[in-house]
Amino acid sequence: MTITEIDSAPAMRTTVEGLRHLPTTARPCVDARDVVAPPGYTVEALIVGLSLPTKLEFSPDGLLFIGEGGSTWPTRPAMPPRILTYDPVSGELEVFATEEFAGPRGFAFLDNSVYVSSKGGYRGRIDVYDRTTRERRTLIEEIPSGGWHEPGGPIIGPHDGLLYFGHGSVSLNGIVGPAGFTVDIAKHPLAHDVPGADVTLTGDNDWSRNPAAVYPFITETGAYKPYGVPSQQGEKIQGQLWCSTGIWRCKPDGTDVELIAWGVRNPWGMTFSPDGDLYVADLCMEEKDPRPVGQDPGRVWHIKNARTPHGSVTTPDWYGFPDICGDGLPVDAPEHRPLRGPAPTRLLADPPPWAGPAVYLNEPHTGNGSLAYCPYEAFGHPGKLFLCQFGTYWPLNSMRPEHEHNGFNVVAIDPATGQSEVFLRNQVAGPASAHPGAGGLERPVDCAFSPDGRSLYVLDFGLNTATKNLVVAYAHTGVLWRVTRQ
Amino acid sequence: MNPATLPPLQTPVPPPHVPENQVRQPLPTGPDGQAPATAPIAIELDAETWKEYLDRTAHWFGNVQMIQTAHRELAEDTLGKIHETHLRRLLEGVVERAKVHEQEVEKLYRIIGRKPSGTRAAGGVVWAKFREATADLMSGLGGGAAGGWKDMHQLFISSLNSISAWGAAQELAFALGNREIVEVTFPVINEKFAQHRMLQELLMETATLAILYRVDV
Repeated sequence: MTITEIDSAPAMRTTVEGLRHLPTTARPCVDARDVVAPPGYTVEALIVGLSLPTKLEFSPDGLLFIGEGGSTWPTRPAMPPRILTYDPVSGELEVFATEEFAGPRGFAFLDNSVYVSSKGGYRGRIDVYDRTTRERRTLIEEIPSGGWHEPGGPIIGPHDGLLYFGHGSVSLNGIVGPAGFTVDIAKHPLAHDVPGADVTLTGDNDWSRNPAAVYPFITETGAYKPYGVPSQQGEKIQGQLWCSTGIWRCKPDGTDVELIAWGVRNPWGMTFSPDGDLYVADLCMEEKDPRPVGQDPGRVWHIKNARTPHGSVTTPDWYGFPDICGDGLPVDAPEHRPLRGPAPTRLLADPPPWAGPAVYLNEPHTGNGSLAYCPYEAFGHPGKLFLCQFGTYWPLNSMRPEHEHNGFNVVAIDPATGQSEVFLRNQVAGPASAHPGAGGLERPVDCAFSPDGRSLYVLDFGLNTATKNLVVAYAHTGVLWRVTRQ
Repeated sequence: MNPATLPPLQTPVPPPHVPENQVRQPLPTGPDGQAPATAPIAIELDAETWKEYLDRTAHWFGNVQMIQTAHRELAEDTLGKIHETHLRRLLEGVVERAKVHEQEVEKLYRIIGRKPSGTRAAGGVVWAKFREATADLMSGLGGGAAGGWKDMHQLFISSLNSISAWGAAQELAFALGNREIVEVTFPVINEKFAQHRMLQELLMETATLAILYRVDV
C-alpha cells in the first residue's frame, strides 16, 4: 500500500465522558467545560484523535473538509496526510483522499472541484480533486518550498472568481541555517528563498556550523542562497513570478498566474470579506538563529492588490520580509535587537516600498494560525476576523518571560480599527497541557464558519510543546471544536 | 552530552508516569450508530485499532531489545580486545551505558502494558556473535586491519543501528500521543548520538594505525 492508498480512518462514536479518558497520555482528557466562550455561546468537542490537523473549510454544500497535515511542525512523526470530510448533520466522517508525503494545507471549492494546497519536496503545489470521482491532478507545482514555511490558501475570490494562494519563506529569518535542519538542510539542501522583484543584496551573511558536514565545519550563507553559499555586496538577484513569500492569483484552470504581493513571511491564513478584501495572517520573525530578530509582532495584512483587475499588477506589493518587521521598523532598529545572538542587519540594499501597515498587530510570538471572516449576523460579530492564535513556542523562539502564555486562543478582530477581543480561551492562560487534568484548548490552528452562520468550527492541532532546544508534536491529539450561538 | 531536553509541561508538575497497574485503557469499542449522530467521534482510538497499534509497537520494541542487546554484547567483546588505555576507558563508558540502555527497553514494554521478549534478547546475543564473525571475515578476505579495530568498526555500525531502532521507537511514541515513552527514549537517543560520534572519532583516529601499521590498538 502506498501513502495515497490509505483510504480509511477507523473511528468510533464515544461520549463526553469518554473524551475524559483517552488512551493518548499526552492529551488524556478533552473537556469542553474547560473552554471559555462569551455568554450565549456553547462549546463542544466533536472529533478527537486527529493527527496533526492543519486546515478545515466548509464546502458550499455544508460538508466540512479537514486536513491532517501528515508531516508538520516538526516534520516528525509523519502521519497519513489525509483529507477527511465531516457532515455536521449526520455526523458521518470519511476519508475523502490521502495526499502525498508532507500533506494538505488548505482547501477551496468551485463547482465540482476541490482545490488543495500541499507541501512536500522542493516545490509546493495546488492539486485539484473531482468531488465525484475523487480523481486528482496537479494544477500548479512551481512554488518554491522545501523549507521552513507554509502554503497559504487556496481561496476563491468572491468578487472575481479567481484562485488566490500563497507560500511562505524557505528560510526562517531571511537566511537558511541549521535551525531548519530537519526541514531544509537535511532533505532539501538546495532550497533557498527567491525574491518577487529584482533586488540588490547588502552581502551580509550568516556564519553557522554545518550540521550536515562530516564535522560541523563553519559555513557562510547569504540571503536568497542555499545553505553554505554566501552572497556578495551589490549582488543582484532577479525577481521571479514563482518566488518565496508570495501571494498569487490565477484563473481556476491554473492559467494567467499573477503575483500580487510578496514579502509575507508565512501567509498561513487567508480569508476574504464578501466584497473582496483579502486578509492574510502572517507570523513574526523569531528570536533565534540564524539572524535573530527581537520583538517582531504577529500581524494580519490587507492585501490591497486583490481588489485590482486581474492582470493589472505590474509591480507586486512588498510586505517587508526579510528586512521590515510587522510594525514597519527595520530589523536593525533598536526595538528589534534580540536578547541572544548578534543584532540583525539588513539583507536588501534597495528595498521596495513597504506595503504596510498591517490591519492588526498582536504580541510577538503569539503564533498566528489561520483566520476566517465572519459575515454572519446569526453568529454575532459580523465583519470581524476570527484569528486562531496558535500559541507561542516560548522558550524556543523567544526567551522573554512575558511571551510564555501568548496565544492558545481565538480572537475577534475589527479590521477597521485593528482592535481585538479574546473570543475563545481556556479557563487558565496557556495550553491545556500546562494544567494537568484540564481538557481545554491546546493549539487553535484554523477556524471556519458553518454555512448556516450559527457555528464556528475551531481546529486544534493538538499537543505541540517547546523547550529552549526543540519542539515536538504528538499525533492523535488533535481536536475539532464547535462553538454555537444559542 | 547533547544539552537538549524533553519539553516539559509548561507548569512545574511531576512528569506523568503511568504505573504498570494503571496503564491507560483504550476507549470501549462500540459500533457506529450506537450513540447519537451528534456524539463525539474518536479517530483510531477505539480498543481494536489501539490494541493493533500497541501490538505493532511492542513488536518494534522487540527489535529495539534485540539490537540493543547485540550492541551491548559487541561493546563488551570489543572492549576485551582493545589494549590501549585511553581507548579502553572510553569503551568502558560505552559498555556501561549500553547496559543501562538495555534495561531501559523493559520500561518501554511496561508503559504500554506488555512484557519484554526473552527470545528477542537471546537473538541479540546471536546477532552480536554474527557481527564479530563478520569482522573476522572482512579481515580474512584481505580488508586487513589489526586486532580489535575491526571489532570497533562493527561496533560503530551497531551503534548506528541501535540509534535508528530507538529513534523509530520514539517516533511511534509521538504518533501514539505517548509522553511516557518519549521520556525514556529521548535521553537514550541523545546519549547514543554523542557516543556514536565518539566512536566515529576513535575509529577514524586509529584507522591508520590498524590498517597501515597493523597496530593492535
